[in-house]
Amino acid sequence: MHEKIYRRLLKLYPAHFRGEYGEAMAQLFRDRMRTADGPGGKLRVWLHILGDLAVSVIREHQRPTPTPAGPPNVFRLDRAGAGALMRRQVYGLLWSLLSAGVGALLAWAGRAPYGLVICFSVPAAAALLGAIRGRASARAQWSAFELVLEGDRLVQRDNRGTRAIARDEIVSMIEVPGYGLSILAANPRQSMFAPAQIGGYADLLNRLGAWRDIVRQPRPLLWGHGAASGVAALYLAAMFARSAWVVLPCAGICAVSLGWSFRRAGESRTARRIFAVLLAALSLRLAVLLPELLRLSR
Amino acid sequence: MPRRKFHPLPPAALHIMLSLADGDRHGYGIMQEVAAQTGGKVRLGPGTLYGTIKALLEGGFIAEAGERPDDAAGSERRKYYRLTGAGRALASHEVERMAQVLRIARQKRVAVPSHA
Repeated sequence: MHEKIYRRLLKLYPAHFRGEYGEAMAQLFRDRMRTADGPGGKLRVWLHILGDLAVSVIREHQRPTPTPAGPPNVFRLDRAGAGALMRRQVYGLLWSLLSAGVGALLAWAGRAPYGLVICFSVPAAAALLGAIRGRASARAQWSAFELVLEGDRLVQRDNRGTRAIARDEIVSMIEVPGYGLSILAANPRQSMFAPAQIGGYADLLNRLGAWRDIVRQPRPLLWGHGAASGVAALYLAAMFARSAWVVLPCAGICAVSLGWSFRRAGESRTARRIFAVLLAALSLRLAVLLPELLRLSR
Repeated sequence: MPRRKFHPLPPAALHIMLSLADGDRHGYGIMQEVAAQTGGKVRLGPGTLYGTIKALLEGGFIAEAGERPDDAAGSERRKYYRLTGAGRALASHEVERMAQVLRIARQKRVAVPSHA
């Protein structure tokens, strides 16, 4: 709670200063709070911190903004870029919420077995919680996000920590125009993603392109709203159709697209959970239909 | 050029450089060392500490010395700083200047000589 308030106060500092030292200042604040003792210990720390903040915020705003010499090595998202990324995340969640919600309504209306109501309500609730929690965490993540080129190393920093990849550890680089660049390592924990909205994206592509060839791929169709709606409709058909002849092809297409989406979800744990739950519901539906499927195969 | 910005040297900058004179330290370590070397009279807040660190880094008086966890302060990784040759020279020059001021003050009986 204390740290949350302090992190909000850190926004009073100029963005370049906050980007460089914000995390270290929050760490120092944590240390001060951890070692504060006595009944008024935390209050004393706060009084000292606020006094220091009042003086240092003015001083940092008076300091001239540094102008980097030569090509920048730090790539960050500006406010508009971070906003666009957050909206994209919310669209994905809304789509999941919509399909799960419609399914739950259909089930509730009595067209589906009672067990499926649970299958749809759980992902709907998970998606809703994800949307609420994901928005705050996405804001924190993207506002702290930066990529730094340090010699033959690329370092990614955000609110969850730091990860680095050396030039010779990169297995492949895939760029989806308008979406971003995936930098893949043998160890998935080292893999990174540079969103197309990041400042100096073209320069970053040029410089990373000198390290290794960048493979360009078209924007996946599934991200298009039309394709997403089509898959949602097929999904619902697979869940509620009475005939196994309808369920089977619909379920097949949905399973492939959901499995593929699960792989593409990459860093987003919420999206992976949603896709996993939807896949599980589909598998359950097929399991329910198993006797009929066996009869058909005979 | 940067040296002009540190003439006279702000007290926070001098304290930070003195705290780094005997080894590399991270931000919280610097703050603790400054508090210890001044008997708790000077306690640097995060804004002053990192604002001064930034200015000293830009002037080349201190340098970053890697990132690693400090066992005494938890498992988090921390950025360490070290005093450079230019920083040591600047701190030494400032201490001599202050010693000279102190000598004059004693001669004029403004400051009482200490008998440690």
